[in-house]
Formats: sequence, C-alpha cells, structure tokens
Amino acid sequence: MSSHPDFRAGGGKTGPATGITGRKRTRPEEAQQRTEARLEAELADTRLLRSISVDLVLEGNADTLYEKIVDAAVAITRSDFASVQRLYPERGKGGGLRLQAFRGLNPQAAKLWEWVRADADCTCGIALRSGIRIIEPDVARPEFVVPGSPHHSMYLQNGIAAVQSTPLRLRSGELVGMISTHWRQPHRPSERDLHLLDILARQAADLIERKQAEQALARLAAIVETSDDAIISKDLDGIIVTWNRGAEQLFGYTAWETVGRPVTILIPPNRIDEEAAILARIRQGERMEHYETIRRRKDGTLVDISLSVSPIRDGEGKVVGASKIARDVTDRRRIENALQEADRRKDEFLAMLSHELRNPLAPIRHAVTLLQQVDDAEIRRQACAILDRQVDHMTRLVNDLLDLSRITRGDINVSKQEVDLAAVVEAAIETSRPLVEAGGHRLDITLPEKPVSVVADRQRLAQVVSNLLNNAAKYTPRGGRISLELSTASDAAAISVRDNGIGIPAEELPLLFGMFTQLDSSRGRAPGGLGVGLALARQLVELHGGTVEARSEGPGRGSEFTVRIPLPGTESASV
Amino acid sequence: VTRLLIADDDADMRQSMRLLLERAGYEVGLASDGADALELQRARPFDVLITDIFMGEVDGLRAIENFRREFPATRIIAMSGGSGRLQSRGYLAAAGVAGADATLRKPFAIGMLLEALGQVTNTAAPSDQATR
Repeated sequence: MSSHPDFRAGGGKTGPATGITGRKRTRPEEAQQRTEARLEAELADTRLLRSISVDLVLEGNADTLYEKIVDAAVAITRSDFASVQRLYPERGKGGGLRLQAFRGLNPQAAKLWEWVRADADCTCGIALRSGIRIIEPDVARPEFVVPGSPHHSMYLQNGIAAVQSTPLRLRSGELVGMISTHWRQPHRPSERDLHLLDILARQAADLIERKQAEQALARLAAIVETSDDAIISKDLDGIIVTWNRGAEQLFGYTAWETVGRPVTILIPPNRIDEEAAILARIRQGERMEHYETIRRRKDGTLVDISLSVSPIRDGEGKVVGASKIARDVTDRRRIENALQEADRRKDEFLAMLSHELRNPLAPIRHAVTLLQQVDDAEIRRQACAILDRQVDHMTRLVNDLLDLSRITRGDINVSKQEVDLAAVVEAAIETSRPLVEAGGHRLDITLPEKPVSVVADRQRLAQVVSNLLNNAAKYTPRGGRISLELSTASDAAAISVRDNGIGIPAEELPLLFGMFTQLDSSRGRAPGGLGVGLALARQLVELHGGTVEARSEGPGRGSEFTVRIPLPGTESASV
Repeated sequence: VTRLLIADDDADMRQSMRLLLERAGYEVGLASDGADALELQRARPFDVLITDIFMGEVDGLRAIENFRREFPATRIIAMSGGSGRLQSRGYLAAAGVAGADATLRKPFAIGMLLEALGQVTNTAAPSDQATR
C-alpha cells in the first residue's frame, strides 16, 4: 500500500496508523521467557482461530453466520462492540454497506449505520472508499473521522472511545463487506490482533460469498422448480440434464424418466430434424426465441409449444449445453383458430346476406315492368302477388337482420305478461302455415285440454315456435310430416316440434344454436333465410328462463326441437 | 315462334319472366331445377335455355353442360345473382366455360334479356356473343 487517496472530507492526514510499536533491548532469559510466552500465545491464537473457523464453516444459516463473525471479532480483538456489514455494490456511488449483525450498539447507532455509504464520515465509510483498514485509537481526538459530524457524535453517544474498520476481501481481492470493532477506552489494537482480524476477515469474506451464492442458487432453483413453463437443460449431444416440474406437467414424464435420455423423445418423428438444427445454432452461441413447434407428450399426444433455447456457457465462455423454456400454447392456438373461424363465418355471412337481400330484387323488377307495360287485369294481379310475396320476404330478412344485430348487442327486450301457451302455439302456426303448405307437409298438433299459463312475451315466444316450424318445413323433403306438441311437466311447459326430414349429424348438434352456422351445415343452405333463427330462438327462450334443445338420430332420420318454459311458481320462473 | 325454357328455383322469378317474355312474343316453358329442365327439353326441345346457376346447388352449371352435349343447337343464357360463397361474376364466368352463349347478372332489366335473346338466336357463332 504505497499510496492511498485522501479519504477524509477535509483532507489533511494520510495513512493508517497501524503497528507503530517500539522495541526495547532485553536480556537472554527474559528473551526466552518472552519467546515461550509468545509461542504459547500463538498456540492459543491458533486454537482460537481454528475453533472459530470450524464454527463458521459449519454454520448453515446466513444470519447466524453474521452473528458468529461478530462474536469472533469481539473475541479476537477483545473489544466491547463489533459490527459486520455487507457491501451492496449497486447501492449508490461506491456502493453501500448494510449492517448485518452487531454487538453493543444502541438503537440510534444501529439505525444511523444500517446503511453506510462510501461518502460517510465513519471509519467504515472511510475504509470503504479508501479500501484499507482505518483505525481511530482515540475517538476524542480523531485522525480521520470529522469531529462534530453525526458519525463522530454517534461514537461519543455510544461511549465508543476507539474504533477500527477492516475490509472483508475475497481471495480475488474484491471487497465484500466490513468488520468493525469498538472499545470503551482509547485503544490501539496490537499487531497480533490485527493479524488475527485479517485472517478472520478473509475467512468471513469467503464464507459470506459462498452463503450468498448458495442463497442465489437456491432462489434460482426455486424459481425454476415452481415455474409453470417447462425448463429443461441439455448437453451438446442433446441429452437431458435437468427437468423441472413444469416440464413434468407439460410432457408427462418425471425427471427420473428423462434425465440422461435424449431430448428427441419429446419430438414427433416428422420433426426430428429440428433437433439437429437447434443444436447447430446453439453450438454457434445463438439463441432461439419463441419458436413455435409441436412436441409429443409421454402419452403420445401432441402439444403446441413456444420454445426458447439459449446456450449454456462454462466459466471460460465455452458453450457446453442449452437451456430450453417451453410453453404450452395450445390454448392460445385454439383461441386464435376460433377467432379466425369466427371471422370467416362473419365474412361468409355478409356475402350470403348481400345475396339474400338482392335475390328478391329480380322478380320485383320484372313485376314492376309488367305493371308499367301491361293493362291485362289478370297479369297485373299476378304481378301484384309477386310484389307482395317478395316484399314480405324482404321484410322478414330485414327483421331477421335487425334481430341479429340486437342479439349481438345483447339488446333484446321481452315484455312479459300472463299468456296461454296454446294461444302462442296457434299464432306461430298461423305465421308458418304458408311455408308448411308450400312444402306439402302434414302438420299434426297436440294441445292439452287445459290452458297452459306462463308469464311470457307472447309475440317473441310465437316467433320462437314459428322459427322451429319454418325450419321443420325447410329441412323436410316435400310431403313430410311435422308434429307439434304442447305438454306440461311438474315445473315447466314443453313445446316440441318434430319432423321426419333430413336430420342433423351428431357433430353439428352443439353448433346449431350458434350464429351463422347454417352455411357450414351439411343440411345445405335453406333458401330465404339468414341462418340466425335458432340463435335468436335460444336467446329469446333464455330471456324467459327456459331452455331449447335439439335432438336428431342422424342424417335422414328427422329432428326434434324442444322449448321448455318454466311454469309460474317454480324457482326459475321468477327470473 | 321461338321457344324459351326458363329454369329458376324461385317461382316468382320464373313467373315474372314468363309474363314478360310471352308479351314479347315468345313461347315460354318453366322448370324449377336442372333435371326438370332436361326432362322438358327431351320431351319437346326449346330453342333457348335461360337458366339460373345456383338452384340449391350449382345445378345450373350441370344443366348447361348437359344441354351442350345433348342439344348442341340450343342456345343458352345463364343468369346469376351469386350465392353466399361466390359472387355472381364467378358463377357467370364458370357458365361461360361450361358453354353458355350469354350471361346476365341478376337483377337485370327485361330489355337486357331481350337484347341477349336477339343476339343468341340470330347468330351462328354463339361463343362470340357473350354479353359481359
């Protein structure tokens, strides 16, 4: 230590005042006695250090380790107070010392010195910024500490008359903390004390560092272990080295089953080439982020994953393996696909809508031409009938469209009052009769003898039943049979519409009440509708606290739709 | 008298066209789909087939092909308003490929149909006569 900075704020004195002792001449026997005494003292010191170091090395708990270092410092230097601080390099300019354990300091002192910055005027702050040991043998006449500063006052307030601060340094020389000891009387520590203190400081530094590293590793291991993402490491031959719980959950293999086996057990055969490409990139030191691919679980099922792979390097920076983080993106995929599908359905719906709305225009146009050009009463009557039907048809389409827009906005209102369901059914039959008759179908109606009274929106409910009847008429080959039955059970009234028509494939039953599903149906596209009738029916029935369900034994075997409306007095009827 | 066969699955469309074309001096037969049209044609051939393309299925295209093969002398006018899946342009282009002499996009003024009829019945080289 040939030079050191001026570490006192006001400047002036330099250099630590260590080991300035004079030597006197002595006689031979005295010399021998002294030699023996010294050897004995050294032996005692060695024993002390040994017991301290065994104690420290065996300490597993970090906090207790700091306590033991403080105790050891007190024992070695025979001081009245002691403290140990750990350096947090990132804390402020020059880092900050955090008080980890202490003896004898009063609460105010512990508070003032809880965090000591490199510009603080206490011995530990000065030692931190100078990097060397600072000794104040007589605090009343300080060499380094500024008289009257908060730190100086705190020494005096605690009854501290002498103090030293010794940096804790790793073998590498890196400063990681500070040991300070304090005495009630002015005191200059002996060479022997300082020598032992240095040995303690070196040992303490290494132990603290090791403890920190262990804690950091344990934290990291806990993060890896509890992560929902699969975190796997492998060597450059693609052999699995570690396997966390997330990997267990994602792939179904335990660590026992995978560690030591090639990572290709996770790769489906048609993607097996991916592994070589990934390893090649890893050897080049490249990372791969969010690479979307497919892997195979233990049970053979495939899973969509997003994969990030990073090289693992050894101390010299050489790539020795790879860490892989895999995330199950099946759900995200499914949502993306569903959104795309919904988008496609919407586009098709719009195309179909424009077609359906334009269709009636051609006969309307021709009928108008006839009215303009023809005087013959019979032809004019026919033209008017065409206009009538086509305008009706367009009105229905536009009404459907308006209902559709209300459904999507969740803005359908029902005004409920007590109604007889038989009357509702009759109104629906009246509406649907033209379509049923146009198909040449036979319609059988079964009504109970007594009125079936429910609280409902008469018009809306009639619309539901009429939609079901229209569907039966549309999806039943000419001359079919349609039956409508109104019945009551204990808590609900049921309206069933059955036909012997083209039926519904089982896989389409769940989709039936969705929007725009008509287009994809193998039932083919029924002319003159927007495919929203069942979606609307379900919405309306649910607004009545009821349910609607579809049944079919399959294609060609007819369909049955049942609407259930709760009877008054039952629980769901109060909705 | 030139005999016309109208194939369309919409009864009002068939009927309104029949009334207009009869007034224009044609003799008109009606069919509700392609099979129906072919049956009527075999019973007593018409001079011109005026067919919709999308009748439930793309039945009109098959009808055009059948007529082309079985009754090469019969002129064919295809009409379409498109369907949910394809714009009328697509179907009409397909109709041209299948052998229609002229195509019409629905809805159309009756004058356009009469014009197309005049062209297909008065010329011998039908493929040059497609109107759009």
